[in-house]
Amino acid sequence: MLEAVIETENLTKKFGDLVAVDNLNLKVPKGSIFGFLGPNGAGKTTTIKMLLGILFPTAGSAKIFRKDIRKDGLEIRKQIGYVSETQAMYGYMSVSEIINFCKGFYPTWDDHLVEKYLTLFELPLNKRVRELSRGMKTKLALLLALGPNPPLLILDEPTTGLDPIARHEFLTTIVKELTEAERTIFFSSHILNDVERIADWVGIINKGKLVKVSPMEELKLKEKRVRVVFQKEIEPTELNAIPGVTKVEREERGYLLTVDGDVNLVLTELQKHPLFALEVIDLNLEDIFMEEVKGDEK
Amino acid sequence: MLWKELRESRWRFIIGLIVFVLFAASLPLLYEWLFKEFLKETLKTIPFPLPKEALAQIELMEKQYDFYIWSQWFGKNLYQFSTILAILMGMGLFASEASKQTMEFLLSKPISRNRVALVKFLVGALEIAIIVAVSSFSIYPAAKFTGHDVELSRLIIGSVPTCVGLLLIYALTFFFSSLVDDPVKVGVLSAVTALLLSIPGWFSKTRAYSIFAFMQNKEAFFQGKLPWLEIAVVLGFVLLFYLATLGYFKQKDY
Repeated sequence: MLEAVIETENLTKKFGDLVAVDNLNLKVPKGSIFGFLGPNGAGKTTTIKMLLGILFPTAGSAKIFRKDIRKDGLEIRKQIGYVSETQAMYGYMSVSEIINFCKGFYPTWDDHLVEKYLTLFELPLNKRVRELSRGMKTKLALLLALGPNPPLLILDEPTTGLDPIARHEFLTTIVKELTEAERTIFFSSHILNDVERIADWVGIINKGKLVKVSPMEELKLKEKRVRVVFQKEIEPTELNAIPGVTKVEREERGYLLTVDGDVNLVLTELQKHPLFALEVIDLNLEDIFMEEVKGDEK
Repeated sequence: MLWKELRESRWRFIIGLIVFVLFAASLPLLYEWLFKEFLKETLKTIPFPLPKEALAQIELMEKQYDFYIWSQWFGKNLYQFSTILAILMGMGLFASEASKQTMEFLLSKPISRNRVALVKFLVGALEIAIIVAVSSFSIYPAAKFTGHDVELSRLIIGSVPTCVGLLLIYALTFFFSSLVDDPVKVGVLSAVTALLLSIPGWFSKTRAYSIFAFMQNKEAFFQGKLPWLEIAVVLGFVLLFYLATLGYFKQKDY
């Protein structure tokens, strides 16, 4: 694996009896756009808040740029641009005031970059933050996150509440501007299309547990469904025993197999039996996500 | 950070300063009218005899200008109204940021929680001290203007214990503000605590242990000496509450 920018080890957060994040072991490669997926309440925001030192882990550890989040939080936050889910900012400040306020925290603040995004996002400098629309607030939050020119951007559900046009604009800007700068982007969302569009790595979290981490291409390549109809009845246990088959579902005349691994190997095994039909179905991210999340619910 | 805190508290500070200065300066300006017109006329119309202690107090105020100033400012109005001011200044420090979720925005920036707490505490404490000092000192020119004299040193000495006592009320509110994420609840909690702290002052035997008796500071005003030991003890409690707040804030999830 490539050098990890974020690395967690058994990271756990409990709120009373509720385990919000459960022994999370995650590595975010340098230079990647890492989509952190999960349904509402899966533990995405809790994980992000722990990385930023806003919440404190109950157990486990995490490192960002090889620095411990508990000991070196201040140094770490100098290198992170963060857009929060709530986008709560000081509403009484004007756009220019909040830019100046944030500028004071970062020695690496880049005025030219901010000028560029101000023009690109068409943000009104004199307008108060509370008077901005949701879309404008999102753009302002992104501008403030980009201002210090950070090597790591953490975006927590940044497109929630945006209309489709604003969402498309936002994501296009991120991809265009940020991949050019070779930043690492850790991007949480429950909007699967967004993640599929821009992420090159995917992590799926459900009920606080990390259920899948993989490069996007590999994920799509490895995760398939196979529809098979045998000429003679085969026991499902026999199908379950094939390496790579993670799930066997009975269909009217045959079986639907979920494969996570080498699909050719599975096909070879299936072809050892007389068949009526054999079909390989490609999965998109939504199918994979539903498989992981819903499968867990079953 | 400093600019933000000053900006957020600026209206409370400006309004507080204006109200307190007007209040303090009005005392010398009203003196002649109060004793030569109002009280004489009013006392004649009261259908029952006033208690002897009250009459003695009125007579003493009329004869001794310093006693009038102390009793109307340091002895009563200043500590009462500035207690409310200290609670108002402190109740939103953490609680407002928590309830509006701006604390998350602030803490995601490269700033230590130590610094956040220190700047918040110092700005409020400084503003309270300025309001108390400026309003108390405004008595001096107002008295001169009406042809009376008050020693400036007495006004300074009178202000110090009030400021120190207010720091304790403010530190308490600061502490509650870190515990409870609702500024109104913090205000109520602080007001109830201030009320409880006033109980020793209701009885002569325990009056020496009352923070409000300390803030009135009658002996120091008239004898011209600061109660250093009491000041040190109260400042010790202020430090204790500050450290308790810091300890809690540094562990708190937002």
